[in-house]
Amino acid sequence: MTKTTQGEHLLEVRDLRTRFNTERGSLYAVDGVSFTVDSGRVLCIVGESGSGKSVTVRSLLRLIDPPGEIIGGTAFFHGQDLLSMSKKQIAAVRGDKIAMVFQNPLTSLNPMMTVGDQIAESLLLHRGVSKAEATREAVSLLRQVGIAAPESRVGDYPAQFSGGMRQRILIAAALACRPEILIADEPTTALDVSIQAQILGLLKKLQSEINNALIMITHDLGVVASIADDVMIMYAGRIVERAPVREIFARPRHPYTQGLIYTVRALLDPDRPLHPIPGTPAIPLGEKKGCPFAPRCGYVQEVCRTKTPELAPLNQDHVVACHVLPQGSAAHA
Amino acid sequence: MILSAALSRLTRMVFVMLGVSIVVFGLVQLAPGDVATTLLGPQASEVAKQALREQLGLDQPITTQYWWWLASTLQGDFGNSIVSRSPVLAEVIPRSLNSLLLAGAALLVAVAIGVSAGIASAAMPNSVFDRISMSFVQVVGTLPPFWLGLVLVYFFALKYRLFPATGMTKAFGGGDAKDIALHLVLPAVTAAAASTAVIVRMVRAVFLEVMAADFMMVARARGVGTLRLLSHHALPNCLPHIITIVGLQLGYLIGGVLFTEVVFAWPGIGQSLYQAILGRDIAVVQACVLLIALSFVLINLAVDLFNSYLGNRTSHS
Amino acid sequence: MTNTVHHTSVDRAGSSARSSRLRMLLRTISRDRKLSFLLICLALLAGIAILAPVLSPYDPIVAVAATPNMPVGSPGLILGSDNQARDILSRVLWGARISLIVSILPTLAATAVSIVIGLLAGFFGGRIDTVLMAVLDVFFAFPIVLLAIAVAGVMGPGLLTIIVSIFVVLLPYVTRVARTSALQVVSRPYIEAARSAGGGQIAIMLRYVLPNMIGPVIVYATTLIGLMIVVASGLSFLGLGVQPPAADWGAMIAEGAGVLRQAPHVTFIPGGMIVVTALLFNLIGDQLRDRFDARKAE
Repeated sequence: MTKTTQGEHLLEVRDLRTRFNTERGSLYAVDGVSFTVDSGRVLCIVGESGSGKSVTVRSLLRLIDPPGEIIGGTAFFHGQDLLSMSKKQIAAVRGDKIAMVFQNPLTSLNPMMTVGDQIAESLLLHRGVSKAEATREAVSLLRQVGIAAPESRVGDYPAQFSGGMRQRILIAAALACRPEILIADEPTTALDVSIQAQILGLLKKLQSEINNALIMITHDLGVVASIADDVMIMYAGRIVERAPVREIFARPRHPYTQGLIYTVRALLDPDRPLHPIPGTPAIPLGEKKGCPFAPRCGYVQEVCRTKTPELAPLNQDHVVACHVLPQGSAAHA
Repeated sequence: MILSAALSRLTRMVFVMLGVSIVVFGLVQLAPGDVATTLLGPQASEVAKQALREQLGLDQPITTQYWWWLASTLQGDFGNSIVSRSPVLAEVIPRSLNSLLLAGAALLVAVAIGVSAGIASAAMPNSVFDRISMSFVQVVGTLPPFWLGLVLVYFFALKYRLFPATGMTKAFGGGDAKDIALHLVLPAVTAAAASTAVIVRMVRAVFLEVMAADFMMVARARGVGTLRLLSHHALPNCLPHIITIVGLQLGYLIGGVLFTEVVFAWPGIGQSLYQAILGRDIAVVQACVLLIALSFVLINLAVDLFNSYLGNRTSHS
Repeated sequence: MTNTVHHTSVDRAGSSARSSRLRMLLRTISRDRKLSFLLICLALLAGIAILAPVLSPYDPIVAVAATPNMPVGSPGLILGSDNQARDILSRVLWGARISLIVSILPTLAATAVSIVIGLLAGFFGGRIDTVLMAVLDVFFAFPIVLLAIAVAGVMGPGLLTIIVSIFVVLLPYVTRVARTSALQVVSRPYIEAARSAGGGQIAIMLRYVLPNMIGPVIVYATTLIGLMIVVASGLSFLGLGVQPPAADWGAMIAEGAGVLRQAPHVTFIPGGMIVVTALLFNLIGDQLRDRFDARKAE
């Protein structure tokens, strides 16, 4: 990704590995993921269910519970490794420097606490302000996220708001301490399409004010097209391709990415044939050698089954993990 | 909104109590034995018995008898006890208070032990402590209260004279608060056993469910520490369920203290009922059954209303 | 013509589904080691109860010991003698019969009756259902112990009294579950389809609704057996069950209360048997419920 003027990235993740120890064996949900994040930019992590997107970002905030555990890698943020911090240190980062918005707004708010209290909580915890001042700030935040008559609504309970409004409240709560990184895990999946656009617009608007980095997890390429700066495609716990948004759409180089992009194109253009990707998403159970996409890949060759492909640069800013496709002139574009 | 719900439940309660009164009246009619014979004795002449029947209105059609009985009962006249020949209500009320004392003490014990054990188990699910406490609770919940009472009496009253074995007060010179408290310990623990088991299991289940909720993860992601998570985030969500469970247990205790009262000779309404059944004291039986059923229904109604009041908070708009 | 053809093929599918469902059920049970173990224990207990006349060393109602209240481990009396010099072991064995009868019989009866009532109320709904709910409400106003004692008090002491008491106590609870289960099945799309396709209502009710609603009812009733054993023995304890000198665990506890200080075993042993038996049934009920819920979730 483009480096900041100081040459340092805001967040640098290297070789993150997270494993779940289940009865059926070890599930390598995140299997060697590396990426960087910069202020003011939007990174979209794209993948199907089970690709490891959520586990990746949760690992950054150490929100992984048994039977899961983070087994390797580093995540440097302001010179400190998030993955090896003490519990107290990471709790100080959560909500203050790095905040997260989750998927289901209907269940993400505590039904027995007022929305004002929930928005003000991180201020009380991290800034040590008084309750009155935190509530004032909560009102201001409600206004910023577009909730009408915030002074009267700050004492209301979540049940009194619609799904879209609750997601706005959650965004307000996440941004209360003006975090440097905001992680949004499929924030619009549970909402109506019309509300979706509003929420995305809100996230972009707030980002322009706070200049935070935005990591957005999504499986919706439409969302990617509308707000991403950089895109990261994940499959079976690994990154298979990473590039700026225009590159990804114009010149997808991994067979999986191509499958995704071409499907969108085919949906938009009735004359194009539809080529669905055969098979079902892979579950990274046990240590396996070879490319995880091999069973579904139309370009598969012998080397794909034996040797795990690593991310290799195609050109500046565009990396792909594939043995076959990038080499050829690849004329599908 | 809440008012209309309360009103409809109240009306339903009235109908239910009407049904209860029919059952209570009807049961007594089904009982073998002739009232006149019971009152006058088997030696009495048929003429005397017939006169008494007419006097008591027993020769009237049954529906008429029912209305008369219902009318007088609602006015507080439950008739006279065959044994003591004095008004039943005056006898039964103080005994109800004794039962309430016992049930209340049992509830206190059950809540204190149940809630703390439940939370502790939920805090360490599937740990050794959790497994042991769940097994222990399973056994305790199965113990017959009359047997448990005798076991406790043997160990704590007879073998090691820590507590008195029976009664509510000392035979002579007792009656103060300390005396009653001493007498209350064993019966309260006995009556509390089954309720404690239920409360431990339910509290544990509620806590585990709340801890697994999405909003708990969201709070953690905000940097909230364990203590605050439990007290500010989890507890307010557990409390309604816990209160419901405790309320229901109070209802069951009121119904279930009977065995404990018999074993410990505690002078409560359950003991009265039992004696009355053995002695065929019909009026007392009716009064006791009605009062116990009424309190049971009232408590359930209160729990029901409490739940519907809370239902507003957790609904989606 | 089409109607009959459709009917037959569905019917055949229905009956073969039924027998294979039974086979599946048996296979599920045999694969569950915990449940199998518990059921074997139950079978042993039942066997001991049935064979009580053969297994018990002495006549349970006759004084056979040298003195009353002989302790456990006395020569010839493994569990000692009670306050009337009778052999406790023999009385325990014979008491097992009564405990099993008064818990299992009423449960079977209540299950059968509740299924009929619940099925009718759930299927036809309307006024039948409303009346049923009103009647159930009245029954639920009585705490269990109270209702049991009231019925027993009316009928006078005896074995039949206990059986009827337990039946009356169980019926409202199991019927409520049966009604809910029937309603749930009736609301399923294939029932609606069958009803609108015509054909006898009774046939639909018996062939499609009945087999699918029974499961939860049986599972629920099984979880109540343990509690009923305790309640039944409580009634005996109060003297409302079989009369002395008959051997019954609840009555034995009452008899032992008089000699609690000098011979606690007379009270402890029958109580222990009640606990073990009730626990066994509770564990079985829990296992069945877990298995059933797990299968429903699939």
